[in-house]
Amino acid sequence: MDSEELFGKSRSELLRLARDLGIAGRHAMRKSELAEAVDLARRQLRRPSPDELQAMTLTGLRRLARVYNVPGRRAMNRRELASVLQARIHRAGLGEVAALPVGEAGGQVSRVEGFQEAVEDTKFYVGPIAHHVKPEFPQDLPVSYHEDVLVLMARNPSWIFGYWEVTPHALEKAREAGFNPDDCRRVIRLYEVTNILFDGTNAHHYWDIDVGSAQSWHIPVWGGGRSYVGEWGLLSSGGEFYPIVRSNGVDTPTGRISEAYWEEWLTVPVARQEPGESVHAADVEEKAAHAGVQNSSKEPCAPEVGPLYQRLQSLVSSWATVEQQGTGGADSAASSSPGRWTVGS
Amino acid sequence: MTRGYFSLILHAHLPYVRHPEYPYFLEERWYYEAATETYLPLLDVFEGLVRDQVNFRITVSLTPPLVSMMTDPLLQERYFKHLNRLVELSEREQDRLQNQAEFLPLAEMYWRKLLRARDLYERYGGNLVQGFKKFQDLGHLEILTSAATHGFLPLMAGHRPSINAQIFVAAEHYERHFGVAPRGIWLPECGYAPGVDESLWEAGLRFFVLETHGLVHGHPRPKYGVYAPVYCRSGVAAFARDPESSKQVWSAEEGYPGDPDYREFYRDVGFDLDFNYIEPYIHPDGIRIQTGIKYYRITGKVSLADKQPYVPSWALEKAATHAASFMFNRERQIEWLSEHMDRYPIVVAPYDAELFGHWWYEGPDWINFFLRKAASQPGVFQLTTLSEYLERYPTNQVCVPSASSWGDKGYNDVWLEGSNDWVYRHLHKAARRMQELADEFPQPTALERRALNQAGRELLLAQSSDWAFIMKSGTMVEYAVKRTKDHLLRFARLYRQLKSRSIDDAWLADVEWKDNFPPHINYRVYASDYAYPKTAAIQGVEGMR
Repeated sequence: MDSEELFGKSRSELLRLARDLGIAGRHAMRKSELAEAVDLARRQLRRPSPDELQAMTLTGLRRLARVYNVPGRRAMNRRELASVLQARIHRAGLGEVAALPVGEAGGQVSRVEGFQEAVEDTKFYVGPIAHHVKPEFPQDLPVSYHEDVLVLMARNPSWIFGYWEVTPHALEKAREAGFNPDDCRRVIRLYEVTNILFDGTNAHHYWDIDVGSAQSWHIPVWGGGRSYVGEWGLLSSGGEFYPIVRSNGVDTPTGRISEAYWEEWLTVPVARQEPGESVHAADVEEKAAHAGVQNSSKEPCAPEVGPLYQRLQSLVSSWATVEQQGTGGADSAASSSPGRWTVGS
Repeated sequence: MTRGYFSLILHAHLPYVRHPEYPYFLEERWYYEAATETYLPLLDVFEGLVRDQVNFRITVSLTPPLVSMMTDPLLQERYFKHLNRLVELSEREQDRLQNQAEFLPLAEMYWRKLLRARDLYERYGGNLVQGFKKFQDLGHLEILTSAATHGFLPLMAGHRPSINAQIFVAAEHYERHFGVAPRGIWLPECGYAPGVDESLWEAGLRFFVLETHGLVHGHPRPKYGVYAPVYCRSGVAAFARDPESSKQVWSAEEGYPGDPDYREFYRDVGFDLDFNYIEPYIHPDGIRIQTGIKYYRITGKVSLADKQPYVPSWALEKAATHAASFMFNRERQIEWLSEHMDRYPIVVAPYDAELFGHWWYEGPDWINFFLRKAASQPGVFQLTTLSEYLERYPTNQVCVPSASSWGDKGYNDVWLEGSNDWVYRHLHKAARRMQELADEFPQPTALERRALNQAGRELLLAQSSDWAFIMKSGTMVEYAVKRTKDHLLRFARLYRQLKSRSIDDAWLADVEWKDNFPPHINYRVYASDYAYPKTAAIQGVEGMR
């Protein structure tokens, strides 16, 4: 489903794609406009989940397969279409599938952006051109490294990403252990292990994500400031789980203002070094002498969010407000925020 | 009376793009354009400030790839040719516009500015690093380093050797070019995750800059918000970006660069003029591209065809007004902050350097006006650098900052999404293999050492955050994919050759010639037992060739 491929299609082919995508005003469009609209709509298409795909009718799947330009789609049955589409849709960016639950604690930080990304982009902009470069190597990156691996990475407070590889050998061993991969669901079991030393059994809770034949997944998680460990494994129809590979631990950022307000102070002496002068060894020693000891005191500052934070919150309005005991919370922050000045006001 | 401090930081970076194997390479223009429109105009501003004895302070981070491109003889020569072609175009434009009173002065303006840039370029001997170093040595400019290839550290899955290599190689690279050890670092994309600071401390780096919520969401809650640094447990200081001053520049509604009087970036003579006329100044394959000569102003929310001619005097006037507005707002802000703090606050305002000049054409003028005002009327605040502030306040609160970045949505979303998430499987694998190689070859032969060092280069080049960024943004995606794959595949081949003890010398030499960055890498930096040399001197480098 390359954009390029689209631009090589005839107008009637494009029109049919546009119809499948429900693009309004498609008949008035020129060929290039159609290709562009289809390309855009595809990118923005809400991508169905594996469960939804499984539940779709053959006609629906065929239509979707046309939009995604699945080769050989006419010859496929319902199950084949669903699995091919799942792989394809996933590769196209499953991360954009579901909208984030809005307003939950640990929601995303809305930054004071606007131009910033556009400007960063223009560093690489030389004009609206189609430019082709060939990679030096005829071959592509390997599809497999022949190892059992599962790696999790935090994307933001509410999403983590995982990629994995499970070798045929490991699946064979599972089969010998009574877990036939063809009859089992392939899942990632995600354990929430915040503040505990996970031993495989003591998670706060866990849940399973059906991942089918995919090799990576974007996973929504609840809130921020939590730790997770995952296991890729087979889930039998009887509900028994056979883990094959365990992931690293991953911590999500909290996404909110900390309620801890104690203070600890540290002095790190700064010596301006001259050109060529050695600095590292001396620093480490000095720092060790000071770390956590000298000038260090634990004294509470005010438990409420002070005026500095009220002002910061008023500037970045969608920061999750911290729930405060005994203070006015977000309302008082808004009413007392000093606002911004402009010249002459 | 002074009530606080203000620190302006410009983060300058471009990925390492240098293709000796081609006589012309389109993506090398990224650097040429930034040099003409941002780096030289900024240096010109600094020259003027020093000439007029303005006691200014500013911070610029120069990433290792950028520094190496600035000092590379091949790129210096190619850039000089590029600049000369632009001068020629601006001369021909004056002839063409002889009878068009609206545009002739603009062609003359470009001609004058280009000659000035060329002049300055020649004065630095074609080496822009000499320009920046000069102002650091004079005490006006603090130059920060950044990660070796601008790798996005939070997505290295906590692989310590990967993070260490990005930091250590950068610190050493800085010292070679600037003659002193770097004191601070700009984390690529402000990307931070707890633990990254430990590598910084080990390399002797004392401070870095976070996005606002890196501190606001820190634990425990920092007493002064973003208006004073905190120390991480490692001892490295973390400053954070002030949202007020960034909003004033960046906001799509209120930001300065969107003013109708400023120059329009997207309308360029490379697309407007007759093909036969413009052909010598665009891509040799006849593909129209931007030339940098643009005659229209933003005008308003109108199509590119309806843009009105640029009027330099209006734009300059606007830049002065906006500098005054920025100054006024900082004064009010710092007055207010000082009333709520028991020490002088610091307002930290970092921006992408290429905003100034390349995109916001009048940006360097704005900086010029602002620095002159701020330095010459010592009033509510003083200009400072982060080092100076730490010298004044060596005692700070201890806090664990939150993972964060300055990318869209504030975390790792930009570099980890549908278009680019496929790269990490391969990057992580290559990183683990690199560590394996470094452990396996403690005493390599000369040829093995070359192969090992080159493997380190390929890994570092593949890790550049720019490739994932470009894949997401959709501009020049093919090139970003090509670079990622080329480096990873070269790495894989080196890995296989090293493992099977069958290094192809001729091929290795060819790859060394193409990917000659970072020049002085020592592959041992990836070894499990590697420790950063405790002296700042460079003698510890084994990998010199």
